[in-house]
Amino acid sequence: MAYSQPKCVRGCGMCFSFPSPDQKPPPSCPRPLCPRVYHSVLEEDGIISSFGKASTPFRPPLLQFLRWLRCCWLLPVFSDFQKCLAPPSAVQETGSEQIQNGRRTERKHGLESERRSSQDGVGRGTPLSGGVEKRMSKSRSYRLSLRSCVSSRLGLTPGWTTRRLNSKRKAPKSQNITNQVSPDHLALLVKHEWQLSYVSPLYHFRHTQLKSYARQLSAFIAAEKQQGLAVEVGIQDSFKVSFSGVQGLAVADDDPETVLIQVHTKPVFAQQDDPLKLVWSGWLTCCNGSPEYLHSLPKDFTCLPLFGSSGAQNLTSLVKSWFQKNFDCSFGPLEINHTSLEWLVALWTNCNTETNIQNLKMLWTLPVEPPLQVTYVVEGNDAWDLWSSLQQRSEGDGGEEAGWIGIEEVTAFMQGLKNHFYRHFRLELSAGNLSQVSTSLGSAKCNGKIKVSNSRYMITTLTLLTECALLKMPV
Amino acid sequence: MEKSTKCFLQQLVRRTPTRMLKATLEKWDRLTPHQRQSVDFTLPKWVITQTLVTICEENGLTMKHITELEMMHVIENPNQGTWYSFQLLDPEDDAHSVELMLFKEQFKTHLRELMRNVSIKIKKHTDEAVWIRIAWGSGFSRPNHLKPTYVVHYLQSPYVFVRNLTSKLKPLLMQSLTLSTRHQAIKDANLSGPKLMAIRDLLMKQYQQSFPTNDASPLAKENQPGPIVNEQAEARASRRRMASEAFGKGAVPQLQSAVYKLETKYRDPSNRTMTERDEPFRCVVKYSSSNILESFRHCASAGIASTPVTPLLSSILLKGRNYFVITDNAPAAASQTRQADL
Repeated sequence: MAYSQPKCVRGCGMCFSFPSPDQKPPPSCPRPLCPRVYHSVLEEDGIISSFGKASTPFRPPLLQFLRWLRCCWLLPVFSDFQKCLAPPSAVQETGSEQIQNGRRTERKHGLESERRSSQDGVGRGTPLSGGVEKRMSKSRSYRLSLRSCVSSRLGLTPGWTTRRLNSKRKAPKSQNITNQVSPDHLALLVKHEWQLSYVSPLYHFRHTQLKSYARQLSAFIAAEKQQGLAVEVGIQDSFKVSFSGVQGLAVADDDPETVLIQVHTKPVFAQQDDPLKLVWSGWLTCCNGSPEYLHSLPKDFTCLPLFGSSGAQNLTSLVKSWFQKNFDCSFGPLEINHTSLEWLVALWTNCNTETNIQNLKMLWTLPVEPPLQVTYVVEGNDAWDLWSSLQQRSEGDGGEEAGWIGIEEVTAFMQGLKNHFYRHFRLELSAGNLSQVSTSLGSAKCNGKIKVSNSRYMITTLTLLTECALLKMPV
Repeated sequence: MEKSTKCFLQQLVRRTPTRMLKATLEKWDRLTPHQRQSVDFTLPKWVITQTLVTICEENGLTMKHITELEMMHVIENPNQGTWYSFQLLDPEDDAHSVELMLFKEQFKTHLRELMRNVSIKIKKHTDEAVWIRIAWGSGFSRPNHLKPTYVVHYLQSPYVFVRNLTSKLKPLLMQSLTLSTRHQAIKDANLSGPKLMAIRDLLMKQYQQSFPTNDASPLAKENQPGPIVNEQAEARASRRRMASEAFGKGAVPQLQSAVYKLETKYRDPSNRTMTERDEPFRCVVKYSSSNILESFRHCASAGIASTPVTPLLSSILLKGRNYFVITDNAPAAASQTRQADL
């Protein structure tokens, strides 16, 4: 069956009202410059056509998966290429009829409601879920990959995405992980601010071979550092890499163990027996990863989707390229979008009864000339009072399970804070971006920098971030 | 040369960027042209410092001369550190007759009465401003020249700008300032920032002001395109007009931040628990930008801030301050907020 669904000429997946390519897309189309060339590249590579045409021979999922990976490397320049993919389920043989129906109903809501609902990230049951499920059992891995690819921007709500940020979360309980995780590791995790990235599943990664990985990586770093140097004296032992497994951070049974990487170096003017200096550290983790996704991975893949690094930029890129070469994976920046930041605000505020959060600080950037930054600091106890008043209300409505926080409450809380602000300044904070949140429990920035200052709530934060990383991952 | 003088000179040279150092040295006029040429400004900082120290030793320069050099540098580059502004109140009858010589003499006498070991240097700048440099000592120690306080005062104006003043020494300075300018009181003007000129312009109203008017300007009226009125354009124009009324027209003083401390009650008709709560909802809002007045003006004309602009924001320009504490009025007028007097 040919791919003949009406869709935006620019392939944004959000505009539904412009079926023919001769018509101009609406000004609200979020993709002013969607290079059509991606479509043809992907079609030639057999990626879209395998969905689009019934005549294409069926490829085993793993092969498809690898082709995908290759494709991701071919097009790293076009960072947005995932968006241009044709919607996978729109061309499924089984689901196409239902999709048509689903689309039509979608269209009635109009673009605006589409966007709004996408912003708060609430998953909606769509009429096509039946069709999707059917197909899923057949070839789980690549179907999932495409789906997460479409929904990777979270902001897009085409009718066919079913996976998105959880709309409900367990209220964070103070977990004393100090007796599970070794104090050295914990101190390191709490001390630094980490720059986050997502990582696609690692191929042939073995937790048993960490020692040999350490040797290989230190050799790799030394080799890269020596490039272009005429004299090679005393460089051999300048970098010492250590890999270690961090026990106690994996919560669910399926979670692979967290891996901590540290790079030590000898200071230039060090004495013989001076201790080595820690110059770079990073970790790969998976905290409460979606079991559905983890099960769908082929046997040889280990999924540690969240990568945090702290230290010199060039070492970060060296470590990344070593991982890419050895484990066939790809890295990408993990920005923390405003929905996740709002989640963190709510989750941290909810902890105030157990651990005082002191101040809830939020930073908005308003898009005016010159850019205006608004720092909104709320006293911790007052923020908690507002939060608990909202919770009482929703519990009063009935039907809310105790110990769970819904996205509605998060949105209501943020709205409450914004309303109080608007009442005084008559300034719309929603016009800007929430770019940073911090409390005494930690801080997070929209460019993907995070610091967790209190180990007791580390699991909660890492769970949320793992989820973000899994969604952001193109594979 | 004494050790402390040498130390001070070293610190001064270290802090001054090389390109400014050359101009400042020329202005200072304590070195002979030959000596000035012998300093090679392409060399690293520590070499320049050493050369200067030897030259100063040759010329027999003392701490007094070096403080002169520092003062010159600060007057040329005032946009460093944070300047706090103060306002003198209740002038006495002869306040307007205070001129430079009298002020100098009075200020020195008053401050020396309060504090024994203090070094004061007063210099009049070209734009009528009096610059005062104060190095504080304690009862037994000599003045510390490494951390001087700078005071800028425009004679016959009620404003004083101060940089680098500790709270312990604040009452002493305030007292001598009020006495020597023939005023009775002084208060914090709640305006601070790194740009001295912006703060001065804001307080002394030295910017292009626009006055509220309901009529469009006569020129605009003539240019109106007949009876058909574009409603959108009208709304936009009125937004723009109100924005420039609240935040000034043309170039505005480059203020970089404004802080509001809100201690008002949380009110929301749909949230009874919070509305009935007795304590205020405490929060602090800080705006920062390279030029907040311009940002606000843009906010208002773009519709991000609703017009008419709330008095909270427009009082930055009207009252010339950037720190506010907001509390609720008496319970009768509960829906209104007002700025508490500080």
